Amino acid sequence: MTQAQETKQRDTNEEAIRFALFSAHEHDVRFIRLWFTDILGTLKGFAITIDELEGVLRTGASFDGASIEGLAREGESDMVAMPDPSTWQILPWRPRENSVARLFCDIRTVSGEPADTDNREVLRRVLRRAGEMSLTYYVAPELEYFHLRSSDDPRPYDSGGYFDQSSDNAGADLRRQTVLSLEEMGIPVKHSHHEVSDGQHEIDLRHTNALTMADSIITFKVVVKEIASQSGGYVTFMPRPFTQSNGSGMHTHMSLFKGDKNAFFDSDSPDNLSVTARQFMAGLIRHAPEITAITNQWVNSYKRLVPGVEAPVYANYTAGNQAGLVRIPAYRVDKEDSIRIEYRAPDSACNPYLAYAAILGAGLEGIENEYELAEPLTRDPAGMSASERQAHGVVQLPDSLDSALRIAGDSELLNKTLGPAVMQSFLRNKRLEWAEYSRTVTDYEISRYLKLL
Amino acid sequence: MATVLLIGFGHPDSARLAQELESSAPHHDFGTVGNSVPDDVDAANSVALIWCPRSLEDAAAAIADAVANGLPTIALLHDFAIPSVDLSSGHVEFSFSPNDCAETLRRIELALARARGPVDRDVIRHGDLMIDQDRYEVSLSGRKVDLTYKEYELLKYIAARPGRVFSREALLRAVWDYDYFGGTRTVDVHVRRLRSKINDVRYQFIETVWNVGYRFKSGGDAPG
Repeated sequence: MTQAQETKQRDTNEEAIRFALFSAHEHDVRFIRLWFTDILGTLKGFAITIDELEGVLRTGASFDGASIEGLAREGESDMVAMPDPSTWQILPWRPRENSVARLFCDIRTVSGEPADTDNREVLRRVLRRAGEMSLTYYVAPELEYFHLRSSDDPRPYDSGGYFDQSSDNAGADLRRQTVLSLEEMGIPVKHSHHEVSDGQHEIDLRHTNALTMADSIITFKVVVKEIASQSGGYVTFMPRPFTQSNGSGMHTHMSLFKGDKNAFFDSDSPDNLSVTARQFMAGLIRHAPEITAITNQWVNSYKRLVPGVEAPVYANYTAGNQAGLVRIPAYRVDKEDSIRIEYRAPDSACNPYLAYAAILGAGLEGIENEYELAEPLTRDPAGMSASERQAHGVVQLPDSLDSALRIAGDSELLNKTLGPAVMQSFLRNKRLEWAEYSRTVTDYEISRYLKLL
Repeated sequence: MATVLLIGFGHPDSARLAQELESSAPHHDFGTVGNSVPDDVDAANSVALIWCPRSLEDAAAAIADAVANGLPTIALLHDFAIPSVDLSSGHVEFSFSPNDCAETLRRIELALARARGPVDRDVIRHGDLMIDQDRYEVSLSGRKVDLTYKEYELLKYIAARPGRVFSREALLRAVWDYDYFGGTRTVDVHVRRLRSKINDVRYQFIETVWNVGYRFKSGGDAPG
């Protein structure tokens, strides 16, 4: 940064701090929640009182990072939560008097350096890499979730079907309230509808840069759960809560822009896809097996990535077919801005910071190394024999957390994109989860084997 | 908050007054500085309070020094001292000692207010839209509008320059950090949200200029 840029950034920061302080006064804010996430994308944080706000905005708040999964390295447990003043937001579901606000924080070491395990910093690093190529990365996720009666009674809250608009759809009211709260929190919603399964809903967010979006997804989950709990319900983002229903995905639409121009669009190309778009897609497809551990990080994630529930199973590109891993959603031919790529593997329970970092990293790899994109498949690879798939170069996505971790553990791309510190603690944490799952006797085994054997 | 320079406060009575002032006006900085104004004084945000009960000459010198430094000045004097001191400079206030803390404070505030000139709140007004830059508040027809920080900054920027057409690129550079990863489409998203908050049936403040960017329409012309 030049000196002028640094001065401007300092002024912008000071202005944002003053905005927060005035807003706090205006809304009679008593408590401020400092938000950040652990390595799995779980929301963490602590509260400060209004008296501490100004000091904390300027110098941050120290806390013991050792208790946060994957945050502190051995021997350095003290960390600093440094609020990002531009994320100041009053929580709309709290009472109007004595209201509560939140601030997203960057995590720093005590010496003020960005922590290399900080999710926001990891994503920022990849965004900077795109920025050096003059590219801006926009994402728009479609978040699916199940609305249940309660966590103790996990039956669906309603029995609506896909796009149902009937008035007895109790879930629709809640969805409307949720959308209103999201809008109040500065998270624009593109549209929302009832999904295929009982109690399953989808809310699509309007595209924005990946860092703001990752923050928004974290906020989204809090809002959705909060609104549900006010009506006595419960929301789960578990990737596949019911054997008899589809899972909850987080299909993400994405585009790269060079200034005002959509870098994925080329009017001279027969399918309107630019070379950049083709290379980006090729990067996604080639590296998909490696990044699946990040986009689908739970044992349960792999109960969604199976045939027959509209989720991707193979690392392929399909033109019209919904079931592919990468596809080009329908777009208006006269609107070049709307051409975009959809990546369908992530589930709603991923860590959005690391997931978007890994996905963008894979795509940029394709651009930098000029990968070639294979022609889109015209047949569903599920209907092919293994040798046919091999002939078409179709690779299967990992089918369990275990196999995903094995591939991720060897991934140079992940090591480069997320950094060794993050990868180390991520793999350690996830291998433990797999080991625990492996030695657990499941309901399936009891019902299947107990009487038979 | 301002800095109050306590000049000549060596006497036990003056020390007591200094203490009282300090405890009843914690929003100001009180600094005892001996008999003259220090070199590094921030004249725009300070006031000189002079009390030299033992020496008329010291008092006169201190007043001259404070006035020369461009400070709003209050001299606490015994009534018999008045004829000996030049109070011709318009910036000097005086008050008879012994001095009451409440009165002195009131004079400090008055001197500060006078020095700062007429109250000029930084307000941008267009028709029923008001942007109060001192309070970071926006209201439309008297009703407060809740904006996020970036929405506020964007509105403030274009509303201060009505009629001018801005490209998305220019707005992004002006309103967002250099370190920002948003790109120009972010501007569109924010404009859309801003419009939904500050436009109503009668007003449309932000106009899209096809293929260029956006323009703020002063007065909020009614849409065609």
